Amino acid sequence: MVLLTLNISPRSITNVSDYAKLIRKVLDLDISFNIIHLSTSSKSVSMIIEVPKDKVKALITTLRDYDIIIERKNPISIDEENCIHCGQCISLCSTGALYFDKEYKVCYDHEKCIGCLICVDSCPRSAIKENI
Amino acid sequence: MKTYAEINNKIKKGDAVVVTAEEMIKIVEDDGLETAARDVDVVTTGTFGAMCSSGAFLNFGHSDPPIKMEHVWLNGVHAYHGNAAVDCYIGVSRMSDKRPFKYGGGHVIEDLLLGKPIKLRATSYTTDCYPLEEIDTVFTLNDLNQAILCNPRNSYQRYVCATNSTERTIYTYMGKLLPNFGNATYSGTGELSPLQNDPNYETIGIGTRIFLGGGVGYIVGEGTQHNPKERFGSLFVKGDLKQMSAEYLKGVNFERYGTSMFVGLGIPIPILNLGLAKKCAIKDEDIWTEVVDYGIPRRDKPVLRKITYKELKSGRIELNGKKIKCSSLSSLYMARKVANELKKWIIEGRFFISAPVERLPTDTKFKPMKMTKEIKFIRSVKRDAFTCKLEDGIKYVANLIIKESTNHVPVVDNNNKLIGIVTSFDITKGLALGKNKLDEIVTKKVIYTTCDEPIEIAARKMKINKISALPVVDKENKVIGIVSAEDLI
Repeated sequence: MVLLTLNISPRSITNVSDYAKLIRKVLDLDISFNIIHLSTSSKSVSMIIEVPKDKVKALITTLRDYDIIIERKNPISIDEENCIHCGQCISLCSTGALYFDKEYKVCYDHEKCIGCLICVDSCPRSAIKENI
Repeated sequence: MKTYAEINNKIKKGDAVVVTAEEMIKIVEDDGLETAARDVDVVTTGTFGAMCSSGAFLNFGHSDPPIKMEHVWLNGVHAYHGNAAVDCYIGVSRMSDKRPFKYGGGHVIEDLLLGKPIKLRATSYTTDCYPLEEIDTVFTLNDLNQAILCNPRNSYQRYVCATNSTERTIYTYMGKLLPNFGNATYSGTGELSPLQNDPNYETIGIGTRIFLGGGVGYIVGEGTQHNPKERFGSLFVKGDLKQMSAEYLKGVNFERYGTSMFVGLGIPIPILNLGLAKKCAIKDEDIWTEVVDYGIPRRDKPVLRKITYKELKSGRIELNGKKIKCSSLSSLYMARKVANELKKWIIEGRFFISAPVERLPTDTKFKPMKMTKEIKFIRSVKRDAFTCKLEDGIKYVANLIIKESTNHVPVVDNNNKLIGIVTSFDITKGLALGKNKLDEIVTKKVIYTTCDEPIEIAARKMKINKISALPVVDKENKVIGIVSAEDLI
C-alpha cells in the first residue's frame, strides 16, 4: 500500500455535484482505499489515503484531471541525458522544486517536490519520469 | 571603421577579439562605447528553441530496380515527396503515424545525427523508367548522398509570452498553460538573441555564415512570416546536416500539440562601426514583447500587457496585480553554449565572418490568410434559451423540456446569470434515483460560448467536452441564448 496526500483546492471543485462526479470516477476505477485522515477548511480539503500500489497510477491520472494536488515522497526523477534545460516545467512547479540554477540549468530538489506531477507531461523531451 | 576583410585577417592571425552578446553589455558599460567598438571585432549571439518550420532534404541514391517514391516514411514519419524520385523532405512537425505526439520528424533528424539506423519505407505507382512498387530498407546518415538541413523559419527576433485565462489547462505550442493565469511561458533569449543584436540587419542577410545545429550554416534569406517592423524578423537557413551534432538539434514533443525540433543557432556580428557596437550592447530591459492570452484560440489573441525580457527572465511576471510564475520554452543555458561555441570557433580561426550578398528586407508585412468564406459566428446560429431557476422543481424542468422540445435548460439566478445547466438526461437520471431538487442534479461547471465566438471553436468545445449544447452568455455572464450541435452543422 502507498500513502498519498491529496489536496483539493476550490479552484478545481466548486460544488457538491463536482464532488459527486469525482467520486463516481474514482468508483469506476474499482479501487478500494482507506481514508486515514480527512480535514476541511475554507481553503482546501486535505486527505491522506492508503492505496494499493498497482492502482496508484490510475488514481493519480484520474485525480490529475481535476487539478487535485497529490503529495508523494520522491515521486519523479529527471533524466539528465535528455533534459535540454528549456525550463517549461519550472513555471508549472508550485513549490519551487524545479528551478534554474545560476547557469540557467534546470535543477530538481526532491525535498520540495510534493508529487503533484503537473510537470510530467509538459516536458518536451519526456525527461521527467514518474517513479512507480 | 572596420571591414569584413580586416576582421577576417585578424581571425586568421588569431588576433580577433570575440565576445558574446552578454559579455558585450559589460564591456560597453565598463570601457565605454568607443573603446568597445574599437577593441571588439565580433559579437556572437545564440538561441536554442523550438523551431517548427525546420526539416531536412535527404537524397537516398537510386535503388535497383529504381523507384519513384510516391509516399515515403522514415521511422514511420511521413516525409514530403513532391520532388524527384529519391529526394524527400522530412519536416520536424510531422508526427509518426504509429506514435503521434511522441515521435516526429525532429526525432528522425536527431536519430540520424546519433548515427542510428533509420527505417525507410516507400511506395510508388510505378513507371516504365521506375518499375519498383515498394521498398523497405534501413539507412544511416552516412549512407545518404546529401542531407541538408533547410529551415524556412528560424530564429525569431522575439516571441510573445503566453498565458491562459480560461478555466481549463490548455496544451499549446507554447507548452502547458494552467487555468486562470496559473503560469506563463515565453521563448527567445532576449539580449543574446541573434536578430536583436542587429535589428536593422546591417550585417545579416543572404549568404551570412552562421552556427547552425552545431555545424556551419548559411542564411538563405528572410524567413517565412518575416515581420521586421514589428520586430518579429525571422530567418530562412540551411546547412549540411552531416556536419551537425545531435547536441544542438533535439527532437521534441509537446503534449497534445505535436512534435517539433529545438534548433541551436548563432550569428556572429562583426563590429564594423560604433552603431553596431551600441546595438550589440542591447539589454533585456530594453527588449519588449507582449503577454498574450492563448486561452482565446483566435488569430488575434488578446494582448494583456507589454513586458521586457528582463521581467520574463526573472521567473515571475505581474499580471492583473498578481505575480505569476513564468519560465522559458527556449533554453538559455544551451543558447549560451551556442554563443560560446561560435566564439571559440572564431578565436581558433575555424570560422570566418561573411558579408551578406543582400541584406534582409526591413519592410515586408506579415499578412493574414485570404479567406474566401466568411467566418460564421455563434451570433448567427444561436436560438432562444428556455431557462430555469435553481428553486424550480425537477417536474417543472421536465415539463419545460417537453413543452419547448429542448434537451438543455440553462439554470440562471435572479439576474439571469448562468449558474448551471440541466439536460433531459439529468432529469431522467434524477427521477430514476428519486431526486426532487434541481440542486442535486444540476451541472454547475458549465462550458459556455459567446456571440462573437466562431462556430468552429464552439463545435470543438462540445467535441472535447463530449457535450451537445452550449449556453450563450454576454459579458456579464447573462444567458442570451443556446446553441446545440445540430445548430452548428
